Amino acid sequence: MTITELRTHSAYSFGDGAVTPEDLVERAAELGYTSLGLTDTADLGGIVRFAVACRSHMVRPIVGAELIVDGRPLALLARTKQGYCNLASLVTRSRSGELRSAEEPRPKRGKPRLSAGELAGRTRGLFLLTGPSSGALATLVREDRILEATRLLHQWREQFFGNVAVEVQCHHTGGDEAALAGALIALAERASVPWIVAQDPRYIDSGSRIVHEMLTALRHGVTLDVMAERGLGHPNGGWQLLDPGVLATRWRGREAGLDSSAAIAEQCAFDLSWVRPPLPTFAVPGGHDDNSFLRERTIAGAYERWGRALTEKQRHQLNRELTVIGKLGFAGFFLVMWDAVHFAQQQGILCQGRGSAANSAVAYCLGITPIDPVANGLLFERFLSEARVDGQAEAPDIDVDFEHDRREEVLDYMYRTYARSGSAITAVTQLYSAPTAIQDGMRALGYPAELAFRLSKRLHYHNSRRGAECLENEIGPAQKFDVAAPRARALLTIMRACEGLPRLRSTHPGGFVLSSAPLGDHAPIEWTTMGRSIIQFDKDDLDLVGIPKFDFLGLGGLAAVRRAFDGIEARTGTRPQMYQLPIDDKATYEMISRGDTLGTFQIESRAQIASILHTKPEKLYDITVQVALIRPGPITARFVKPYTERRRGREKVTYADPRLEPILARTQGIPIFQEQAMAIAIALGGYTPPEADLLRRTMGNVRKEARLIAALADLRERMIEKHVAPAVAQQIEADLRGFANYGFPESHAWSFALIAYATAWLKTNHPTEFYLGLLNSQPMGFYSVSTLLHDARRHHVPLRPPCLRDGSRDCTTEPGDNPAIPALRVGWRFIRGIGAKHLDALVGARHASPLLGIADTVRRAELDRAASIAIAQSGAFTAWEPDRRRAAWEALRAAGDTMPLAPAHEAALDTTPMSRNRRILLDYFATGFCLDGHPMEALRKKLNRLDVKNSRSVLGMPNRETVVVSGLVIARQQPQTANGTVFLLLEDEHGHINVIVPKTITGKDRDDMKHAIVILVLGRVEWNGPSLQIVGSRFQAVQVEGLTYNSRDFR
Amino acid sequence: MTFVALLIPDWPTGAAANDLLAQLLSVAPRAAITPDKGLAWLDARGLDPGALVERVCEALGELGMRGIRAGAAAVPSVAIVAAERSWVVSHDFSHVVPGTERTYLAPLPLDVLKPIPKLMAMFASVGLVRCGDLARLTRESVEVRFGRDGLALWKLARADDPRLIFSARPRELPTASLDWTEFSTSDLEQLVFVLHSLLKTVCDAIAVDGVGARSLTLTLSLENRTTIVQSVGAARSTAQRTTWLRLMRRTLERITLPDRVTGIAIQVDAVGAPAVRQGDLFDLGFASAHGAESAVAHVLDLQGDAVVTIARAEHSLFERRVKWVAHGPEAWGLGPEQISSGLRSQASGLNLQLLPAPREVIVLTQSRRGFATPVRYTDNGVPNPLKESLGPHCISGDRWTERVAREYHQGVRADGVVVLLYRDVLSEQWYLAGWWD
Repeated sequence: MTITELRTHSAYSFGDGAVTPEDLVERAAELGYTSLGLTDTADLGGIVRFAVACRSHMVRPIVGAELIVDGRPLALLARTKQGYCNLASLVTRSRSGELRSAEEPRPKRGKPRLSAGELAGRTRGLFLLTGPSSGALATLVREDRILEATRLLHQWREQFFGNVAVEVQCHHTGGDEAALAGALIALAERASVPWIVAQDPRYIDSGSRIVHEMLTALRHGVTLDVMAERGLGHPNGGWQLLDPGVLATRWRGREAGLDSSAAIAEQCAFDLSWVRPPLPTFAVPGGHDDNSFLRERTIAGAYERWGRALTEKQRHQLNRELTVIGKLGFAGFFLVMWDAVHFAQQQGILCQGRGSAANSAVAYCLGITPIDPVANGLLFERFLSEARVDGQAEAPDIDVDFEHDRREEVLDYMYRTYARSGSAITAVTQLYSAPTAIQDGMRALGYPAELAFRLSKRLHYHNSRRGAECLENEIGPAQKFDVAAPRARALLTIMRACEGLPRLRSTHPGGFVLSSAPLGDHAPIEWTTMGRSIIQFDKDDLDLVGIPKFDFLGLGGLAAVRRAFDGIEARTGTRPQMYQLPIDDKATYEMISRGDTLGTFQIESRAQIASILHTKPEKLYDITVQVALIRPGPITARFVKPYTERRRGREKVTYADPRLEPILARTQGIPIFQEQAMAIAIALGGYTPPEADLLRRTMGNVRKEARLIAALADLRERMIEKHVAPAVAQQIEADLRGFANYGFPESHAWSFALIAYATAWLKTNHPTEFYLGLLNSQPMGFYSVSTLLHDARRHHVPLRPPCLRDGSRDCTTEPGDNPAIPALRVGWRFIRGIGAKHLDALVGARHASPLLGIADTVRRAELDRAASIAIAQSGAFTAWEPDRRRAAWEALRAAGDTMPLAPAHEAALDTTPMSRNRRILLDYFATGFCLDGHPMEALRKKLNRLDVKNSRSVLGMPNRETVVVSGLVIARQQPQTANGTVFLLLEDEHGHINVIVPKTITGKDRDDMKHAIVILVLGRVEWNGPSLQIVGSRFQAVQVEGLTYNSRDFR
Repeated sequence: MTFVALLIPDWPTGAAANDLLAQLLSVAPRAAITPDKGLAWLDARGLDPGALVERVCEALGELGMRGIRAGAAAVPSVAIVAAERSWVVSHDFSHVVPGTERTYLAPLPLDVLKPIPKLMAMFASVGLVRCGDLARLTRESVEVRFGRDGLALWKLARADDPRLIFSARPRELPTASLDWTEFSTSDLEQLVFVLHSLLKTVCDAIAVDGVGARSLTLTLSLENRTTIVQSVGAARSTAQRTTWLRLMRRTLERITLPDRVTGIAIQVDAVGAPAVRQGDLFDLGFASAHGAESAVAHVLDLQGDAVVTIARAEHSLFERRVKWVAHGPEAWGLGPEQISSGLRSQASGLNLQLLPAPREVIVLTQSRRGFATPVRYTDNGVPNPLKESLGPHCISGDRWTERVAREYHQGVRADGVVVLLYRDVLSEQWYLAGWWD
């Protein structure tokens, strides 16, 4: 007898399922199930993973969902493609209501609902199961309303064309359940409707059961104890996926229910291609189809980019690309992307394509990407190939960056153009991590929130399972948390079982899915709290299914460049153009080579600066390599040092095979880019371009290591066949494996290099506008505002503090002593303690008429006491009252004196002058920065007495000398590739010091290193060419009373 | 008056707290305690504060209390500051000479007065650091800038703390009033209507105290700016609104109003114990409510200050479905039904009688659908064949405090008694949990 389970729930029931689809299928396969149904609650987000897992375990997938109809659950299974579309549509409707606009009323998030009328309109191709004991049918039976129950069953049978079965569950929870089961069977037999046995499983073992109990407790907002007290959880583990043998024993003599399940499973089908919505159609002008219009726009763009006389190479490339695009049916995709970019350009929004799209000449001619792939020899197959995976072409991947704060305009345009029903953003499924698992677990187990927070913040960057180990062996004992207590053992079990479990669904940064048909009929749509509509599928699911997504990403770097250009245009009347900047500006390359790249795009990190000091870029391509070089791939493959040595001429550039020279010559014989891996496969292995792209895709998939090993072994064999020496083939195989998962596409590096160069050019030639753009685009980048302002000061940019009289909400420029370098006035938005409401009020008041004084400002902007003193402490009232205490005194009077007919008397305040050190600390408190001082100045005299070196004097120390340095900790980093080593960046009044913290540092030293604002480091000087680092051995926090600073830690 | 503030680090609990007060009163004429702040007050009027502190430290030392800090001053807030700073100044006691309180506070940082953090930030923003800086300002300038909280702190900084630590608080009797600004009336029914509402306020207030009013004062404000004040008395103390409304109506009927009424106020003048009514608890039909009350008091004496009721839960384990819940004094006036309202009531029918502890039994089983079903159990050597058995009802959990796995069965014995048996799956042992009767 074949036994099947039609009603499983996975973690995609969010809150009512505690197992991943993969684990569920694996367990089912172990138990011997040959088919399995997934019916998550109003959710189809798990079906792609479920179907893929079923395929690999030879289990027949049955896709369905549990829906809440008129407040009662029932389950629907898809029998056909139409059934799947109806199911997706019903899930969409239950989650989102009518998909018209964000303003329309819709079901509350997390509370899907559907009416019987809505259900009745979408029944074809579906099989209805009547639901658990809380379902409508079971409720009527339990209330002894048998006549109504019979009527409902007949009604459903008509609506679903006979495809209805009564669901009978038995979990051994007492006599009531058994009686209900008997009554339901009797009802089904009287009505001649099949009945099925359903266990309704939500977990597969004791670990996932306790996670399910935790989720149940959290769903009800109570602890596990209260949950048990109120009987909210399952009384036993019967909701587990059971062994078919156990089910057969349990239902002996009543096998009809098991037979019906198997028969229904036979009727149901599912194919992943059903999930794929039709591509969006672009409204092309009359007389055109998508292909001809794309050709017309491409040729027009080519003339703009390359002039009227196209070379043969250019013409050939375009023809080849257009042919492939036409063949694969992606012309509409390109036109949609062109439309979005065109819209952005019309609105003056800076944008540019990144990623592999830069390999396409069509994308270049359409204005989507800025890199000429013909001139730079980029490989089109890296972007789009005719290779087919699972019988379908891989969708092109075009990522376009827009200014991060204007991206919403583009998203709104897409929603307008393709309607809410045809457009939605991709979801990202957030999995449990160690901090979230411990927090949820401790909340459910009734631990105090403070303890949960204290422990969870020590588990950052761990997955849930590793977090449990860490808690048990390290953090628990260190924090005096009794890990042996029964409750703590339960917590550890929960954390281990949470590994890889979906926790919630969030919005992808910019991946749009568009369709010419209602998208919700293929990929269920739900609303986010921000009023966006998202599909239930994760971005990785889209790749698996082959649904193209349009990535509209936000990039702070572009916003900073545009703002800087605005500033230059306002000052000089000439607006620089992003792609017409002189790319051979000597001063710019000199500045980059000095490592003076703080604030620039991509090449500003300490690791980049340390590398740049060695590689000394001299042209744009050097920056392109630089962008790709300091990445996990080349670092783990140990390519950085040989590249640097060869570039400095200390090591000879050699090639293991002469055929590698044309491929690797531009990167000193070292493979840095994914395109080079493909080219090696073509040149040495005799691969065709589509084959090479398949290899690249295998290399890029971190989940399929076995496939990667096999693919590289195949490459090695084919290279040997092509007369490559076995040792060389082996070396190439090892190299490619080393950087496989993290390799950077060259085209992507090119795109980023352009922005990196633009920011470096701005910093060199227009420093004020550079910092203006950077500060007004915050938050972005690697450094804090304070660090950027100190850097601006070092570049002789006159800095002026926030001022209510002369400044504005954002930073502004003002004429300075040097006409070429205007002064930078810091904006009001950087004053701590005043929110958007007060900023808007200040801007409004200022817009109405100039602000005339402290009282005038406070009254017209209706500032409260807190905002008034925040502004006074920042010095923004200085134009009217230089003494900040008196300014605060006056501002408080204005804020509190609310009776105009009986104004308070003026009262003088005697103040003592504030010391410089005190003012610096106050600046840091009020704004996070100080324009003419540094908190380390206050300590300098004392530090000098202790012979503590500063960032300038340490430069005079010889290699391996032991020194003591000190500074404000502005960044802490712990890259995954560093094996536990932490990098600190200290700042003082003269500059920065890099400190390496070996992983052997423990105890109080490590605690101080992690939490100190100002730190004292005893360490050894390490000179590596021109770059200096201190390898710390002892660390001690230095208390500076009144100093507040938020360092950028572990980002 | 001189106050001595004692800061006691290890505040005693339970009976020891009563000992503390007794010890304090053994050395000082008056004492008061604020347990949540770990603070005790002594009245040192006419006494040598130093000697008093010495004696009290000695007395409290007998109770094992050490590390007591003391401060004496004519102003309570200054006494506390002195106590807190006694370590700094003179090891364990500091005395602020009367008249020098403000001078004493002036050089001290403002946080000795424990301002709220927001206020402290505002003071810091204008450079007010010490108590003297704040005390020097004018009242208006402080009130305008720092609001009510700032003004309160300004007073403390000026050693202006008029609170009475020891004086008995006069009993506040409830009042209620209503004034109209654009309305007046002389209509009796309208006035009674308003009185009906006002009486609810005062009657409820006195009822909460468990007393009744003996007399009320009725004050009528008239349009001609005069008032009529009338005292209304009752034959016995009562908190019943209907009684007082009747009396008020009768009083109003007797008054001739010279003008229309613009406001009504009633105030309770005197209260007394309410008249007792016939009891219905423990009274055997004859005892008074006083008798019942004393009986309840006796029970409370025996089992502590608690009212205990049954609470029913939905826990899957039978023995945890019913538990006794203690209620605080707020529930003393309520019946068990009211206390447990909201909890699910048990269905009528046979009641499950659980054994105090499940009893091990020997069970003969037969296999049914993969489970062992009991057909006979032997309890204390007595075999009990089961005519019918229903189950299993499975309970399992592998949780945070206990691991449970049980299979419950209900069996019908030959004598008709329905019994509850369970098999502990973990130990493979059968138990008799109880029976229904």
